[in-house]
Formats: sequence, C-alpha cells, structure tokens
Amino acid sequence: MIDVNEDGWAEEVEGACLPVIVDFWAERCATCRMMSMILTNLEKLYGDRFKFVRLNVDEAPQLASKHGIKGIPTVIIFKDGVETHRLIGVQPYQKMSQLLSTFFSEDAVRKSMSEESSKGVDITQRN
Amino acid sequence: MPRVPFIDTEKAQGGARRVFQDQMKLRGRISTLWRTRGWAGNAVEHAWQFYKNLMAEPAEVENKKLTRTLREKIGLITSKSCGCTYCVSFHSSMLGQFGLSEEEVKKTIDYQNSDIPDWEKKVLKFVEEAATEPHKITDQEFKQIRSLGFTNEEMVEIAEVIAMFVGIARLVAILDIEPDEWLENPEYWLGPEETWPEEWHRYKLEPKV
Repeated sequence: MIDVNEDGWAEEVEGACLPVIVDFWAERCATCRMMSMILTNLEKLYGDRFKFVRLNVDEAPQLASKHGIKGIPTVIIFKDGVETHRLIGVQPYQKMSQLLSTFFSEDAVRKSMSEESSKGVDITQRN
Repeated sequence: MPRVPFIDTEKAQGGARRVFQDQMKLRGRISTLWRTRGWAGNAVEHAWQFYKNLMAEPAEVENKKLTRTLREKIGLITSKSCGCTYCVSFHSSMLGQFGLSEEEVKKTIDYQNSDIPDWEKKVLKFVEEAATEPHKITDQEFKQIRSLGFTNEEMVEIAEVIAMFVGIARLVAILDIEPDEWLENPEYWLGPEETWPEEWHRYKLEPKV
C-alpha cells in the first residue's frame, strides 16, 4: 500500500493506469487500523489489477475535504481519475473481494450503457 | 483479541456467572466485552445493573422523551466520537433489533448530513461535543437541549449514558477487544486464513480460561 499526500495525488491516483483504491484514514482512528488490515490482505490477491494507496486525512485535510470525506475510514475507488465507488466504514474482506472481482465486468456494462445512451438507445427498455 | 482471555461462560462463578445468565436471558448471547469484563467479579455485576438501569433494559420507556432507542443512538454517537469500532458495531446491531433499518442506522451515524428530525440532530451534536470536548459545552447549549423537552432527570441520564460509553470505549481500547463478529467469523472480515500473516492467527483462537 502506497502512502500518498497532496503532492503525489495527481501522479499516483489521477494519472494511474490501473484503477486506484484509496483508503482515507488517520492515526487517531482505531477503525482505520482494521480497514487497513483488510486492504493489505486484499492487495495480495488484487495487487496486479488495482493500485492500493492510502491518504492520511489529518495530513491532507484539503484533499480529504475536496473529496467529501465526512467520516473515516472511507474507501474510494477511482478509475481514470474518476470516482466509481465509495464505501464508508469498515468493509469486510469478503464484501470488498466481491466488489473487486466484479469491478471490470461492471465497468464494461457501465461503459456500454454510456455508449448506447449517447447514441440514443433507450437502455431502460432492456431486459 | 483481548489482552486477557475470555472467561469461559460455563465455568464462570459468582457475579460474573449471574451477569452471564442474565445476558443470555435478555439477549441470547454474551458479548466479548462482558466475557472480558467478567474478570472483575462482583464489580461487573454492579456495572451490569447500572448499565441495565441506565439503558432501561429490557423495558422500553416510550413515555419519556429519552426513549430506549434514543439512548442507544446516544451510545452510537458517543462510540463513533471515541473511535470505538467494537461499540459502533454493537450499538448499530442493537438499533437494528429495535427496528431501525441499516439505512436509518447510517443516517444516525452521519446525522449532520441526513434528514433526521432537527431536534435529534441537536441532541446528537451535543452528544458528540460532550464525548470529545465536554469542557466546551456552554450553559446556553445545555439549556437548548433541555428546551427540546427533556426533564432534569433525563438531562442527567443523557450525561450518564455518554459518560458510560466513553468509559466503555476506553475499556475496549485498553483491553483491545475486537467486535464479536471478528471472532465469530474472522475469514469473512479478514479473508481466507491461508492469506493471513502470522500475527492474525490470534483471531482464530477461541480463548478460554
């Protein structure tokens, strides 16, 4: 898990080739310690498909505020610099794993719907 | 994992035994917190009686402004303010038992940004301040909460509930007690056991005296 700060954010998160899982945390937060354990373990399985980074909200309050962090831990997944998922509070490994394992198929569906929508196809009529 | 082992509920004696029996009767389970607190013997029995009286367990007190559910919400915000994962998990679960949906519990946790009643927001904001910076509470703030319809008795009870859960949050941190769910189903929370680093294997143990 890579520690990022305001200086490294653009390069590590916005400019990343892989989707980025950002753990917004703080030293003072016991719950964050648990979330960090879970993400560390998930990185072993998904580290080749996602980039795992963490941001200390006490050290980068403006960045946390910019991303609307109201409580920690909060985990946000970014793809091409755009937020795709936001999870607030401790998330169990199994729930996270399920999300990550279906991330790319969900993404493909989202992309296809977006393309169809831009072509004027009524996606609400699909089975 | 607690820094002292859990008391084996079947072998517990004296005050701890009576507390465990009472909890089984009331809740059908004994939490890891109380299985650890059981070491305090007869003192834990007094703590349990105090807890039950303050939280009005098992009776509901809907005739009062300070209902059983509101007491639990106060516990939830106190615990959140103190960063006590164990306690947040516990109070969320209790609120679920009182009929709140997962969404309603989330709204309580994020009360400042949710559409819960304004008076409840004021109470929970007061609770957060009381749990973290009690010396900053002004007479005016205290009066404002009382003016929402709480009696003097209830104002003291609110303070007692906050103080009790601040204390429990400290207790959980000192003894390093993990949420019950972690010990009941560690692979759900932490992933497959074969992927755990060595130090996590403590989560798999069923600690007994």
